[in-house]
Amino acid sequence: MEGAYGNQHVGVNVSSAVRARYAHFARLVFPVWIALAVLLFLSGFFASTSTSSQSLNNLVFFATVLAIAALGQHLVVVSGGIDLSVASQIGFGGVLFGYLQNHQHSIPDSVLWALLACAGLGAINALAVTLLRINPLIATLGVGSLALGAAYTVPGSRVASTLPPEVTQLVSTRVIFDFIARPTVLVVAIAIVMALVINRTIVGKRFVAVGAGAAAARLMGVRVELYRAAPYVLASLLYALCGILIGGVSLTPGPTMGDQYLLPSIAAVVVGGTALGGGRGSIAATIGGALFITQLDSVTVQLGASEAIQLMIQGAVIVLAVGLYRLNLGDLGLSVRNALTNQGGAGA
Amino acid sequence: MRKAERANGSRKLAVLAALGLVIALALAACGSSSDSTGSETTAAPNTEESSGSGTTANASLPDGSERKLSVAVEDGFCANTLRQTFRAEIEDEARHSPFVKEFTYSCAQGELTKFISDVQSLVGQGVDILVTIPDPGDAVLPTLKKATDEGVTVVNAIFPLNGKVGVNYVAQVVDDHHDRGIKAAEYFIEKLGDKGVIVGVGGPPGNTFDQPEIDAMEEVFAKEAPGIEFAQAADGEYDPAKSAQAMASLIQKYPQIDGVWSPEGTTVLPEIQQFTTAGRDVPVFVSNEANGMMKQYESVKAQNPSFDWGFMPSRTWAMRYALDLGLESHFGKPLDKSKELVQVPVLDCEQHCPEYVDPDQPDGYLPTNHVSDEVREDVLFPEMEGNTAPSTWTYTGP
Repeated sequence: MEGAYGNQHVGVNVSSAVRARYAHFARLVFPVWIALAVLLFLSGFFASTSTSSQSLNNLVFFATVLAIAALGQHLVVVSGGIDLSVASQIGFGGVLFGYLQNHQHSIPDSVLWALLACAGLGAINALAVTLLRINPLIATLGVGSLALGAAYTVPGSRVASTLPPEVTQLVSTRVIFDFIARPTVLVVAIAIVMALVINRTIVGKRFVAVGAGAAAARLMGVRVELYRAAPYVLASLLYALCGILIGGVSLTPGPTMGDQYLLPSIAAVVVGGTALGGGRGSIAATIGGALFITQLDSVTVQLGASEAIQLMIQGAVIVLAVGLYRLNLGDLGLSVRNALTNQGGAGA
Repeated sequence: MRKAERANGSRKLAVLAALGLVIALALAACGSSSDSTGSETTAAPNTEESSGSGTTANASLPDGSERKLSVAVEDGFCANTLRQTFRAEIEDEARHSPFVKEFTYSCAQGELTKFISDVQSLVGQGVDILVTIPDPGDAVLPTLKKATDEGVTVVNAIFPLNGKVGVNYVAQVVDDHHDRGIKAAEYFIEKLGDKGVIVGVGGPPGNTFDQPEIDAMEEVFAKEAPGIEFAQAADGEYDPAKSAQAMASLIQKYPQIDGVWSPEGTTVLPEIQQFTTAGRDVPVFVSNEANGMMKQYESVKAQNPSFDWGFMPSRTWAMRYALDLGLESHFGKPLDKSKELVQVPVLDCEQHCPEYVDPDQPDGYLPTNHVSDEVREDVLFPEMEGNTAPSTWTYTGP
């Protein structure tokens, strides 16, 4: 087909790009959102009110918090690492924010200090992984311990102290159509910015290249250490934000309040199809993964399952998701078709 | 090559710097903790002048004119207000006892191995009476048996063990969970009449407290108010954030909730928040006490007429009973069995909160405690602020 400039290949290139984009969505984004739709459909059988708008809106807040933690984890995983300090950083950020709020600091001031403090912890993660070349599992485990200790040193952290009502109002007020709360708007905005940067900028392309193959990226002149370090710091900012939001809903932030987000933040990333080895991932799919995990948790509670069962289900979902994404469905389909064709040929 | 060598050298320097920082931090931490574990000497407390409840010891005990006993507490987990208050109560009892010369507090920080080594260390130091809060469970029984064999009077508190009296310990002071369930059910019946749906947000999965209380509630409802149903209990791990999420899930499932049983007092406000966010009426709650909820009760009630709150005191004085039983056993006296099973009422906040609430204290403070002003200042408030109180107290005599 001849293109506008007489170049016979233009039409073919556009078609390839569209196919590639569709393949990306088909492979990464659609599965988790389809799974979420199926889960919501099934939820209606367990409890008729569970899919009402009011009910779902209540849970969207918790999904929002998990989504923010998962976006931080997403950045680290795509860069080829993993962050096990997420739980403790959430606790530290929340406790520090709570302490400042209960000692006459303004909300913006308290938020800024919580963000900076967690960014410091993220920087330690970054240095340990890039400069000291410590395995991210070990490095972030150590920083997690550091963060927990830091949280306990915040005066009064072991005693519940209720945050001022202004914080609760900030977190729970519905700002769009009297339905969508601020945190949900925030996570959507963060996700859009992240997706645009990763997919549409050179910085984003380099970031993905480092995760996909650091050696090749280095040969191309990319500063690999920088692109491996930055995600830890950016992720820490998101964890601090989580701590502030959880504090706003629990009203009494404590050092261990982030514990329930460690495994789920990884689960959301994995269920969203992001490769644990780095390079491949989708922001939209990670958000879908967070919604899926939150609704799954809610359904298991409604079914009367204990926390132990919930953890088993989460673990099984992670393993299944990783397995399914590794399965090449195209090859599998081809094998099945060949087998059927051969059987038909033999019969004839 | 030179660039690689320089990079390698920089990396080595960075490692050394990081190690140096870690060592410096560790030394600083050790230095500050060693300051706080030395013996603390204070003037002898005057029991009559004490503003606390003073000793609850049995009057038939011998004359305590010569204080010579060493008492220790091994706490399986210490990082919350409840444990800090437990410690303050028993230390208060020890300080005001005419028999106790030295009191030591030790925390296992949730670790079984530390619990065991702490107990062995205390036995080696010659402790006379050892009170344990055994979070690790029956795994500590062999250690307690060894302590008993060495002549230490061991009393177990708060978490029941499946050991033998006389072998592992001389007595246990534990909650009567069945009674707690009965009283919670009676409060719900008083407030709701004969009809309603109750849900629960409990503690960690597999804990031994929640189910006996739920069973007792269901028995009472079946007999006295068959129209009230205990629909479901979810795991909240006694954590405010987790409990809030569990509550949101229950609100999703049940279109009508008339009562919530939520043992941990600090989770009540976040759970109420979930009802408010969902646009639902706030129902009747039964939980343990919490200063924060006491402070907020009036404002929540004003906005939610259907809301009522019955709170149970945290029975922190049970630790005093443990010491009393230890003293009785040490002196060969009959044990006061009434102190072994702790029962508490459910107090309606409308009537009782004004008498207990302390607006100057943090929300997690437990206002029904019996701790004297002296021990509050020396031990409880510093612990609540995150400043470790001295782990040993010694009587120096008049």
